[in-house]
Amino acid sequence: MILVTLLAALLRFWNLTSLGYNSDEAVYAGQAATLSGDPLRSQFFSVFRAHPLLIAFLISIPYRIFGTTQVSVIEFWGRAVVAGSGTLTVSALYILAKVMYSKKAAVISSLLLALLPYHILVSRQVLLDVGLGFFFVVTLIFLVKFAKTGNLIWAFGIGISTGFAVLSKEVGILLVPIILIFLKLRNFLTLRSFLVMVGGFFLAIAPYPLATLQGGASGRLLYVFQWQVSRPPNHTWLFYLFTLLPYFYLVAALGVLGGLLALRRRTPSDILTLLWLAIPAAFFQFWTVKGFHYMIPVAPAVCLLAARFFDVNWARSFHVQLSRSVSPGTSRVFTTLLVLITASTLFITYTNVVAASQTTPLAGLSGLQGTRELGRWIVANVPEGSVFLTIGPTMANIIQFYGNRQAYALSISLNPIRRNPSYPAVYNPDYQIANGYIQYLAWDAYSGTRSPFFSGKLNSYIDRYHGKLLYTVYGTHRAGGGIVPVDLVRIYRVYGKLGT
Amino acid sequence: MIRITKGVLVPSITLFVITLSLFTIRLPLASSIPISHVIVVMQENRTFDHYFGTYPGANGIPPGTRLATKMIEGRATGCGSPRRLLEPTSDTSWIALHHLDTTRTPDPPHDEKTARLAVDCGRVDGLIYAQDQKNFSVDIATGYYDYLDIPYYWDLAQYYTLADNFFSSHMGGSFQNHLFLYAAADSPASGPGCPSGTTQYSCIPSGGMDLKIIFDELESQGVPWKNYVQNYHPEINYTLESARLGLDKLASQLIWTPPLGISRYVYDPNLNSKIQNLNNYFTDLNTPPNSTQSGGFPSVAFISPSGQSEHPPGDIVLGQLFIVNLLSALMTSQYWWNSVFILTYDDWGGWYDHVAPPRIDSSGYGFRVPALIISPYARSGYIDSTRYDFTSILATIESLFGLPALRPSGRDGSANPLWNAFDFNSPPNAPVIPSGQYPQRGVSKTESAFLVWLTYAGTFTVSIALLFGAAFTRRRGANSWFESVQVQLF
Repeated sequence: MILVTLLAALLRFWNLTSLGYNSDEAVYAGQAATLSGDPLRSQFFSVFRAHPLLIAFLISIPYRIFGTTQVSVIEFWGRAVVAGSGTLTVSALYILAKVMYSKKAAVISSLLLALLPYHILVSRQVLLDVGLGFFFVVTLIFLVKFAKTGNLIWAFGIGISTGFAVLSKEVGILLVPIILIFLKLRNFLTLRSFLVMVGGFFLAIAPYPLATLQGGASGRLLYVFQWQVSRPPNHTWLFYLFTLLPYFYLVAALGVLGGLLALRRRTPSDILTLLWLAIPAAFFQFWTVKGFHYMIPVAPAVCLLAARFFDVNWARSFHVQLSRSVSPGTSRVFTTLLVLITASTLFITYTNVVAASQTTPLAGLSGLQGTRELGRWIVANVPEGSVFLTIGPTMANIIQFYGNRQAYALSISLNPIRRNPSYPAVYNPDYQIANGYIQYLAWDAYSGTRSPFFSGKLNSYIDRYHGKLLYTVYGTHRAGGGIVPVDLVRIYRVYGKLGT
Repeated sequence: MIRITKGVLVPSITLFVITLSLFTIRLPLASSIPISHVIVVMQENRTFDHYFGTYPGANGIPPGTRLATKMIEGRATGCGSPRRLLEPTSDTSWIALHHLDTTRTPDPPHDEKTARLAVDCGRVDGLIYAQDQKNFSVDIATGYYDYLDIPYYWDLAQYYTLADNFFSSHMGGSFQNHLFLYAAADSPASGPGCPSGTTQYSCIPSGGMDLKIIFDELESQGVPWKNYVQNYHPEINYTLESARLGLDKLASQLIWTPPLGISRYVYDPNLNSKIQNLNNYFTDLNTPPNSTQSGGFPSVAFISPSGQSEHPPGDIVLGQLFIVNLLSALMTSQYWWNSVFILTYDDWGGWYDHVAPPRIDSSGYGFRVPALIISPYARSGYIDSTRYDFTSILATIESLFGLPALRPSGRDGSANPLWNAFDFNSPPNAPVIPSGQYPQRGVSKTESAFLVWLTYAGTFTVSIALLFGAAFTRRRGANSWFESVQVQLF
């Protein structure tokens, strides 16, 4: 377990801050900085945005200890907390698999998760989902312990841990149907245990309503809810299948095989693992908005099912059922297969995630190129109090986090229930530029690709107000079999109608 | 007996001559002062109390200030014309100054006679009576603004220097005060071409004014200067009859840009070419100092506003944006680090100010006006109570560029330069474009965040402690409140 945990930590912490933050990371780290009492970032990142604050709170602890004046400190500790929880998830999966199945299953499942490119990739970013995934696994440990012993202390743990999962991200509530269905199926749900669980749950989530009411943000949360349920689809139905598959590699196939075998056996452990996989996966599949990192809570379940495929004891019993004999070579075949898969996964993980991330330009998948440099340039060359206009919130967040300047995004809807209430809309940008409220325009390739309409609109303002190009962030892009340079960000100065 | 030797005498005389020179011709302090660009913007018609009367720490509206609605004129001695004192009647009511709920108001009367009535021989209680004489609304004239209405200016005051003892140079209106800013003197609104016997304040003689102004001094010393004019129309100068006589709104360009009332600045191509449209301000700021194109940004730049001057009934919000635009262009240019931007207002505009203007000659001072000194070297968040007037700006320019005073025995010769507003010993301030989010400096937005943090920290700790505590209790024996059910499922 220690070796697997060390391997997991190595892959999650190695070269952790080689790239600057992407937009989401900037928001969560900015929020944590505000929580830690950073007066500068509190101007741009309010405490209450779209999600509960447990992860932000955990990140704010090292911020309080080490301070937030150095960007490098903020970057490291923001990611380190998440990478740490990703590493702990590997350890927790080991414990869970051991409690549910066997030590062998524990070693294999935790090894697969430690090496899983998808989990490593997301664990290296300041995102809420990794912490959520950790509390998923911890909750299931308590659940199995409770189911095995009936001791109410584990029921209390289930409540607390589920509460922490919800406090990490609202979708932690998906644990509730998993728990209830499992206990109901096992006929193990008593009123007393239920009340203990509920008590633990409400104790754990207490900060959410308390802090929200105290901060006067209940109205905003209502807007957030309205906005979340009315968001239009952002990806196709097959998004998860085609986007995530390369990051699960062979583990996905093994997980499918393990899932089929689990369906066939249907032991309590198999049922629980299948519920753990199916309920969140179905929810995210049917939820209109899809995100690359949303499936993190089910990644350990996939690894666990894949591990079951390798569990020799279990494999033997399976073969005994089929052929009533197990050849000595079967075990060797499985072992060789495991070694091959492990080695190839490690190779893929290293080349595509850890080492190659420096040329990955997509936000959400990794950090972004040039954001730090952009921030340094802004701090050095743009007067405090200046206001930027960007295509979308991605660049606005980055400018606010690294550049410490106010930035508004063109693509934010004027309709309050059609936008994330955390983002202010810019009313009549033409007027704002003409009258000098906005002095800088920031075009970026990522938002330009995603929103050609607003990119064109920003370019029209650049033309109309004779934007003077001040700074360009160059990056690289893979095209035509080679790497070509591209403009990632361009910053223009505009002087409004007085200067035209 | 003291023996005076050559070795003592020569240095003493030299020191005396240098000291005398500093006082008389104001030798430039350029070697020690890192400022090589002065930008002056004169907006319109506001008093200090009207804009900054409630600004923390400034000499603003005294608490409990109220003005009588009904007064009668009595006798007084030793007070300028009219030699009267106002006394409240027995049936008067009292009005407190109040926050205006609109950023656009009608234009209060603000001629010299009205101003002197408002001053009331130094008691400064006659504003309502004075405005009543002109049938102007009392409710408007007693109004003031604060950070809700002019957040950009309050923002600037936080980061740079606010002068709270800065007087308009003349008790009258725009015409005379603009002349003081350029010439340290006024010019009679009479002469050939002016209607005889009028008290019109803005009439320029048909041959133009005969006045030496600061640009003449700068020109003779080879110091680059420009007068940028918003929405500049070159044809509007003293040769345009309606403008010269101040008969229509076209006159404002002429009144607010006095060189256009002087013949040499209209007919001399060299001088005239330095009066330019405001667009060039932005272009020049983007031009490197040694550019052969236009020589870059001038050492002295006066800016004449147009529709965004804040003159009622204009909207003060537009005036702020005008200033923010000018400032942000300066702050993002390379010239910022050697510049001072001075924002002030030409006259009282008919608004209340509680400080009686000192009487230094027959025409001034007028009421206090707001003044902001914005520079990398301006004292940050400082309120400068040194006595200044518009000629202090001229004295500063003269001192900076080694010019003789325009009026050595007159106003600029005796005015205090603005040096108290500066701190040249500290590192320069980084530029801060006002964001209109006053108050921000020194006000913690993190207090509520800390309470949220405590809520999370407390509950997180309690939850974990309870969990571990319960587990520990359970291990110690059967008295645990966690009852073991012992159902073996697996």
